[in-house]
Amino acid sequence: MALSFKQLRAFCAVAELGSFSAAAQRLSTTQSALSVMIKQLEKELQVTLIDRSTRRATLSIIGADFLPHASRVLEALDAVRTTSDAFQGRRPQRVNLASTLTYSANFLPQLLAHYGRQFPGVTVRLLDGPDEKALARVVDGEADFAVAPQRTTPAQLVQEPLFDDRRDIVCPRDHPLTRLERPTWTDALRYPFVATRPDAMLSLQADLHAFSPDLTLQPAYEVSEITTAIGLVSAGLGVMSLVSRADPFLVGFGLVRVELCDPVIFRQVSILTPRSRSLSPAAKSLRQFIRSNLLDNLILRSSL
Amino acid sequence: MNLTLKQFRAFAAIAELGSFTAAADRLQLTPSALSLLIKQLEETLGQRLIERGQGRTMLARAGTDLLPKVNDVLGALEEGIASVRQLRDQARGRVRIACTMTYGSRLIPPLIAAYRQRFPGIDIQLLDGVNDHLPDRVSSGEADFCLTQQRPRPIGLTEQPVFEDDLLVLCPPNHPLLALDRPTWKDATQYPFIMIKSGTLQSELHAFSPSLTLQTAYEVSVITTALGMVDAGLGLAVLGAKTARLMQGFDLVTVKLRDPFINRKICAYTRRDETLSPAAQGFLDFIRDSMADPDPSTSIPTDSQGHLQRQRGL
Repeated sequence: MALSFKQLRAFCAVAELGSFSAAAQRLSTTQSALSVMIKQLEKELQVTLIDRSTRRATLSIIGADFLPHASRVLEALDAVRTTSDAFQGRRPQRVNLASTLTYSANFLPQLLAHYGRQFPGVTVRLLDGPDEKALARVVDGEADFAVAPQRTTPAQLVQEPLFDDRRDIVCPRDHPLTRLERPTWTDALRYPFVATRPDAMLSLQADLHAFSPDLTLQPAYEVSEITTAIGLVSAGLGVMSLVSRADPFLVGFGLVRVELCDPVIFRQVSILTPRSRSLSPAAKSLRQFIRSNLLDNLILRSSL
Repeated sequence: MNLTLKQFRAFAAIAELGSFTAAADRLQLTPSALSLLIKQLEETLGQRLIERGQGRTMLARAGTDLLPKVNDVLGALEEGIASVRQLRDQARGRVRIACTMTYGSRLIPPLIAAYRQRFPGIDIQLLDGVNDHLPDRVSSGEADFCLTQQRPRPIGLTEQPVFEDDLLVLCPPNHPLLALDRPTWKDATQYPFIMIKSGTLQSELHAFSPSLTLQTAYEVSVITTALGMVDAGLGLAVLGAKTARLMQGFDLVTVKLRDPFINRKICAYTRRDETLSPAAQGFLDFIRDSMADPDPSTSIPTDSQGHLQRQRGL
């Protein structure tokens, strides 16, 4: 059907003003274009809506019946526009999201792809980097908010738990740990340990000590980046601890995860937002999106 | 921002059917044309509306927000279209006819009954009244059209011929006119007539011959009065053949006089520059068609040679 909103607008204008010329003027079009639109509408409906005489345009009986309907359509169309304006208002121009190396590579990309499809007007910059930098970026205002593992939170930030990520040991495929029926942290710590970030090690140490004062990390190597640690472990120089979300990093290095107990350690991943600064609508929409889509199995699975 | 009806229909169909393929089928579009419409809508709104997943199609959040609003638009439009269709197809409608008492009494009512059998949703109102006020009721907008004897065209109205009606003379069964072999109007001038006010009979006769002047015994406003007077032997009166059943109940006979045969054109008058509603036009056409193929019971049997015609009132 070739009905159009333009035809309805033309019809309503002529009906209201009682004149093709006045309606054409209001709609910034020509009288003949207006006349064509009305004729198309009448042809579509197979009725005469407007009786044209030399002097004026008046509604036919059917036209008078149709007018309130046509007006309602245009009102409803305005409501769509209002919704659309609300979309524009909600539309974040740019969001700066800070995260850590692990989550910048293994969790957020899928979410951001999903978000981008839903909010094509939004540009998200992912500020990846070392863990402590993620928080500093939020404090400085470089980032709107951060997704990062739980840690001692600066006073300027509010921490909101997002999900728990299990922390275990990673070792070469043929490592003796892989042959144990019920490997524990006590077992794991018999082997040289490759430590990564000091703050991550502090939180791991705290969890281990909470379980047993005997569980003490004595790193054989201390490096800055996970990727370096993975290289060292892959070279047979030791074992390392890693959250499960980082597993994709292991592919290609011949490494496996060994799930440990006594204790089972989880690391809470949080959203960290500034305490005093309110988020832009853009950032709010992304934060809400991350929160609500965490529960989406599709995303979780695809990142595992 | 250019939002189009096509985009809305495409979006609503996908939302309803949960599938591009099914929606394309329903809208008789190619899948690529449908995708393009959605893409345009999404670009206009700056929002992803539909998630095209593996095998399944789902509304994105903005799509969920938008759907009820789009459905409001489409719903209002569908109502409007349905309403227009009802009027166009005469599922609903109103006709107001102004007509004379004669036609209002004898001719139109059975036609209303027949028409409403076909279009039960059409309400037909009969504005009966005195002949000379009929066009005013059209001009004022009170009636869609009036049905009356052809007359000098009233200002602002348009004339359409509807049917023709032979004029008969009414007389008591024992009247001397009935004894004549080929009675003429000249013969009728011998007898007193009951004239209808503002009637055209005298001028019609004068147009034929200036010498044809009827004796006016009484001048009345409405035909029923005239019938009663003829029945009481106060004079003769005239009546259209199509409405001759009016005299049923009176012991009267009709005669068709010659020199001249008077055949009246009955016309519909409508407002100029104004389209009749489908119901009004439909009923007017129905009257015309019914009159062209008259039910024998509503008219007087005629003799091809114009000989004296008799019909006893029942």
